[in-house]
Amino acid sequence: MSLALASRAVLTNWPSHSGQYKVTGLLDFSSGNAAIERSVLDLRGLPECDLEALTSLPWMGFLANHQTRVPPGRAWMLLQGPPDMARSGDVLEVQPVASRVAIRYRRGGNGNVLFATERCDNYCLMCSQPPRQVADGWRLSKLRELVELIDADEVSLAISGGEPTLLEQGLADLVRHCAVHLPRTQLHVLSNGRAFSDPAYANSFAGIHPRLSWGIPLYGDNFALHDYVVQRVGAFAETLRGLYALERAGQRVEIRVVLVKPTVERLAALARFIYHNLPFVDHVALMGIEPIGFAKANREALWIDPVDMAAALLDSVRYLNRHLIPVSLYNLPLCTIPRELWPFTKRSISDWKQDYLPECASCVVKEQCGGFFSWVTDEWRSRSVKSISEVCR
Amino acid sequence: MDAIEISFDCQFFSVDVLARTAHRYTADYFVELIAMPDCLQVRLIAKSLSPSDPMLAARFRNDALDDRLRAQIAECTAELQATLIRAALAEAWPSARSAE
Amino acid sequence: MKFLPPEAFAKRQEGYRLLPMRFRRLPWDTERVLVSSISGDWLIMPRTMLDALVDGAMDPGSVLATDLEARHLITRGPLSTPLAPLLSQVRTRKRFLQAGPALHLFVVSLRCHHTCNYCQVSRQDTAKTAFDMSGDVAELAVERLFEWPGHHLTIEFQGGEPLLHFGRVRDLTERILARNEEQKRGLKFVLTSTLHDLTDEQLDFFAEHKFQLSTSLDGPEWLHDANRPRPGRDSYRRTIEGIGRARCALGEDAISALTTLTQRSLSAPQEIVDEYRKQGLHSIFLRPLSPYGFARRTAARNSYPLASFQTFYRKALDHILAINRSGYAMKEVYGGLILSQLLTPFSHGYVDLRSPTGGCLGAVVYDYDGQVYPSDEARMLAAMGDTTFAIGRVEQPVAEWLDSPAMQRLLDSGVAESLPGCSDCAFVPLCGADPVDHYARQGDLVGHRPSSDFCAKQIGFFDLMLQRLELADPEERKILEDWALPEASTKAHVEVA
Repeated sequence: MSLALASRAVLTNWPSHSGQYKVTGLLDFSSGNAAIERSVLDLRGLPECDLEALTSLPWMGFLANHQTRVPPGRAWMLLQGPPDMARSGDVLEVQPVASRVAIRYRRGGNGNVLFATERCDNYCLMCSQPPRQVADGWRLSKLRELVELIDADEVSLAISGGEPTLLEQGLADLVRHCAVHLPRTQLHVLSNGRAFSDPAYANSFAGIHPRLSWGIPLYGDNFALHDYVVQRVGAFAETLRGLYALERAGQRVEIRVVLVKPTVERLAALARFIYHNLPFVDHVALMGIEPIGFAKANREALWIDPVDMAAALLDSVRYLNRHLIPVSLYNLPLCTIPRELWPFTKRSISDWKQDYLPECASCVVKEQCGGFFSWVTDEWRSRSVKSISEVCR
Repeated sequence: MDAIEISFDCQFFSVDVLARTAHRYTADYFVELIAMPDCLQVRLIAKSLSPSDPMLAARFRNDALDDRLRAQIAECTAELQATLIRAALAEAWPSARSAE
Repeated sequence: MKFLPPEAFAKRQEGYRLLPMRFRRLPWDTERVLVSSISGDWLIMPRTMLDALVDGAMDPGSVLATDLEARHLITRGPLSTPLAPLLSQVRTRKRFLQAGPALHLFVVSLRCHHTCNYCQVSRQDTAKTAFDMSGDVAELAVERLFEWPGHHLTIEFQGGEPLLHFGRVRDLTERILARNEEQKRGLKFVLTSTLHDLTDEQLDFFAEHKFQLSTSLDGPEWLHDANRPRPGRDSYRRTIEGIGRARCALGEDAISALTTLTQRSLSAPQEIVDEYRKQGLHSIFLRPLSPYGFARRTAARNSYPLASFQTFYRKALDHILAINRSGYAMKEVYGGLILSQLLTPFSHGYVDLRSPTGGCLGAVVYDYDGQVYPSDEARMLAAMGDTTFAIGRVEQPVAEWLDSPAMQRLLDSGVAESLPGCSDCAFVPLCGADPVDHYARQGDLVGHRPSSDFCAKQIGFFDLMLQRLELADPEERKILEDWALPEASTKAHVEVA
């Protein structure tokens, strides 16, 4: 079920500037983890009794519904979206000027991203987050604040954009901030890797975080193909140099490959190239395309039905697997790929954008399957989508 | 023992190239390179008494063509080769994970 | 938003430059060539296309040109085709240089019960303890061992028959482990032995220290006993018993075996392979005779031309592959090393397949008398009176060995890429140099490639494996690839001298 990321809200008694606050429920409070001044107490569903001892504490504000009673004079909010949009442990950004509340962190969610910048120096044909040239350096301080409010036992976080390395040292500072506040959390940064063709920049990330890794796209084993997909001359050469610099700086690297048509045509060659040139990579992610953003404008050039990728996928996955390079398939519904490849699939679409189609209701492998992007349309649907009624062993 | 003689157009084949090719045959043949006015001649005399090889001349020609191509390649790339090897071995080594 | 078509990025009008490359016509199809880069990446293409490529006439946007570019055989300019991957491949291929010699062979005694006429060792009678390694030599050898930089050291005990001087094996192991308390290197212990007369005490010791045991099994009983005479004429029975007891004590994976192929052996390829299967062995090393030691003296009777070995090998390989197809996994070790060179970007560092040569740079031999050699073959030459390759003694620091005239000789002639005949061979990034072998066989350190058995053997193997791969059906291809790729399970011990 896709969960909303933001909703309108009735905001009463809040300061006019935006602020990020932790939603704290009774359990969190009683375990002593709440940073009260930076939290909103979730009053919804609390028992009918005298809560004054609790509410008199210096909470930033309260999360209420029509049944709750809020202490007079204090800040409180009434969300106008579905009630479970905000839960205990989540971090909200309260935007009084817009009468809006946005979820910046979802406890137990699988898609928590620190959004670093809208700027990017690539211009990928299928970009799901089209770049804008804006001065959004203000995001860094917001992200540092957010990091301080995220659960210490959060398993993993991503940093994405745009192109996070455009923040230069700001990115290293953010990573260091994560190392201080969330030392046990895996941090995965999505980047095109081009900035690391300057080895000094790569070295600035050496040893600053105990669980840092990089997800870097490669769309072909040659510049003509890769540069075309990312629409920038010289990108392939810079990305490759960047990959070696990261390796020398002791960084863990994952190669990400969005399965656009031109890339699929040389997918086996790319797998071979990765093994022969980048054997140090931790993992290769082969990803079905997201039908959003620039992808919609470039459908002709990009779309290939996953069913038509079968041979290329089998070749490449078998090759990488035999050469002991871990490989996973993302965003490919099980009914569209050969059975042999099912063990390599991961349920990956972030819960806030994931859905199933009506025909999935009766499918016996629905729970294993990652489903579809919420905005999938007919022209981005494989012709082979169907409910699976039995699984042959 | 009969000598097998193969002629090469000296516009097309240099002494250097043919000498390299001839060297390949020195296990089983005595080889002579003779500069004639209009061509280079290679004479091969078998060292052992085994029956003569009918394909010898054809093989030698192929090898000469290949060595000529190698000389062409070397012209384009010899300097780069030395530079690349030096550059590769002067820099840092891949990390331990990669070979295990 | 404006998007550009593929043509805007393909730079078709800009040509290409050749990167350093070597090529070889395929013996089984002379219209095609294998083209290799300086790091040993390669592809096969028509010979005529190679002419076009060198003439600058190939379409840079074609599939073949793209494949050549991806293998770093051509470049479209530094902004398009980075050289970083090629440099990285070269470093990966030569990574064995980084750690210094990994294999350290300790000859604890020359005594042996056997009188094999192909013996490389110049064995001595079992009573002659003068040919045992002394405590003093052992102590110094261990000192020298830890002067080398490698993080992972393989210590191999051999002889003669090392079990005849087991006390020294134990003593050396204990000394090495004691020194390693502070050094903390990764250590692996290997024993090369007939496995005859193994005692429980010895087995317990080997189990405690996780030894790998390597033994000779020349083939079925009639062949093994004929090749390896000993008092009682029951070498085979004792070897099989030894293998069985060792397996019980140390586990299946701890035991490996190899053959030495005599003239007699060449008549029995299937029988030898079947014997290995019968004994439940999953790897076999079919080793041709070397011209050293007693083998040289009995050469007239025993030696055979390389071509005979190659005929034998093809038959044995066919049979091994058939056995694999029937469901029993078995790998031929040397074939596997060759395949590994062809199919992976890594170098396993095996002494015969590395340049610079493995002598002293990859392996070191500490003889019973304190003399040190770069290889077993060098030791054999010294035993026959020629000390050209004696690099020093255990009393001297390692630095002096590396400065010795013997070492200089090895280095001068040990880099294959610089040797005539090797320097333009397509296999040179994957192959090796062996100055000791060339000196022993041809009287010259550099060697004469056209008549070199070392060269003919290596090229023969590369050609054979390439041809097999090309002609293989998917099942056979998978079997051959499995031999090349590292696995978690049993790996044959390959550094046997």
